Amino acid sequence: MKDVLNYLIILAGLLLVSGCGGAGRSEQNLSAASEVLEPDEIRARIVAGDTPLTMVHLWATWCGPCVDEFPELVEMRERLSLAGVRVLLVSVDSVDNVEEVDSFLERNQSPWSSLISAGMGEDLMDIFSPDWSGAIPATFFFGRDGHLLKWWSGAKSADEYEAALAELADEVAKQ
Amino acid sequence: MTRKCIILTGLAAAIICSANVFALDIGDSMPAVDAKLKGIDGKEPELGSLKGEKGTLIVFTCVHCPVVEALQERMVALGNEYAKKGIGVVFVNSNDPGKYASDGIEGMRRQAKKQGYEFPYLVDETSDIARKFGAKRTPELFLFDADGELVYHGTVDDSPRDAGKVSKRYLKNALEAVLEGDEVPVKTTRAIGCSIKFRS
Repeated sequence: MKDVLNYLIILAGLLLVSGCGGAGRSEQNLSAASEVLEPDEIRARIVAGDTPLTMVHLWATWCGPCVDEFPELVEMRERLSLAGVRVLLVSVDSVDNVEEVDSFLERNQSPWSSLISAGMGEDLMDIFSPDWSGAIPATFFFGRDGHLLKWWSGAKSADEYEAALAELADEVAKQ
Repeated sequence: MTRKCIILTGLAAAIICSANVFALDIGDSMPAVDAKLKGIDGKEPELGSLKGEKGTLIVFTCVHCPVVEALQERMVALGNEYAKKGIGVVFVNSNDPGKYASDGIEGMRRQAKKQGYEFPYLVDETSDIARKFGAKRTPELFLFDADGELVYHGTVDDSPRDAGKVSKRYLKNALEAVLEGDEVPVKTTRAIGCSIKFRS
């Protein structure tokens, strides 16, 4: 009887800890709810940060390759943080789908919330490269003063992100 | 490494890089496509035979993409209207249906029937048409004039998500200019779209 009681106490304790941990992990992942911004406001956010490297990632919950790639991005969270890279996610989901965007980010344990662009046309695309076709996912790296250092369109693996950071390290050191 | 070797290596790299970012420029001729293409109606036309007397509109599209879905009604309305006015209108799906099953020919047929297409809708069975045109996303539109020169490249209007907020009708204005033989006022536009799922 005493053994059964001890077992139940230990089991209850484990359940309590895992429950609290689960809720805490979910709350810690997203620093803020995603927000809808006009493209010029998105541009302002890119140039406002006082970090040598800002990574802006264009994506959407309806974009298959974006969804497939997202775990690779999350896998890079520690490396990006250690490298001092500021990460801005910019979604082109419908502006009425903020909850869906946040739900996706939560499920995928994203440490970042997302901006959601109010525009999908040239006002948004002019922020980035003139050579960009508009296909997503797309990733852009900006220097401290908002100048574009490197970009690509299409999904990449964590190793490819790692290689890009290594390539950009020299650029960052110059700033 | 000798100087000659360095120069040749650089040239090769430039060619490779330029091939990866190929795109038609305004004024370029419509690419020739030798292969017969499979239409959803069972016909197998050559692309060149679908040119219109007044001009030709090639639309790279697909079934699964939400951006195509949002613009579908507008694209089809313009396609149907201007096909009757001498513009050869052709919708092309270059996507690999292995990535999205709805992009297969049956999905295309359902899409065309539901939306009331009155122009050819073709399967790009190798994705080579998209490669020849430099198309990279859906939807992506190429408008050629009566001489077969590219005069407009881009999207339908300035509000892909919401038809009620359109203020600039880029494609309609370009089509009207081509019919009149006038210069297209805005020749290139860009917008978010779904990446073309190229067949390997």
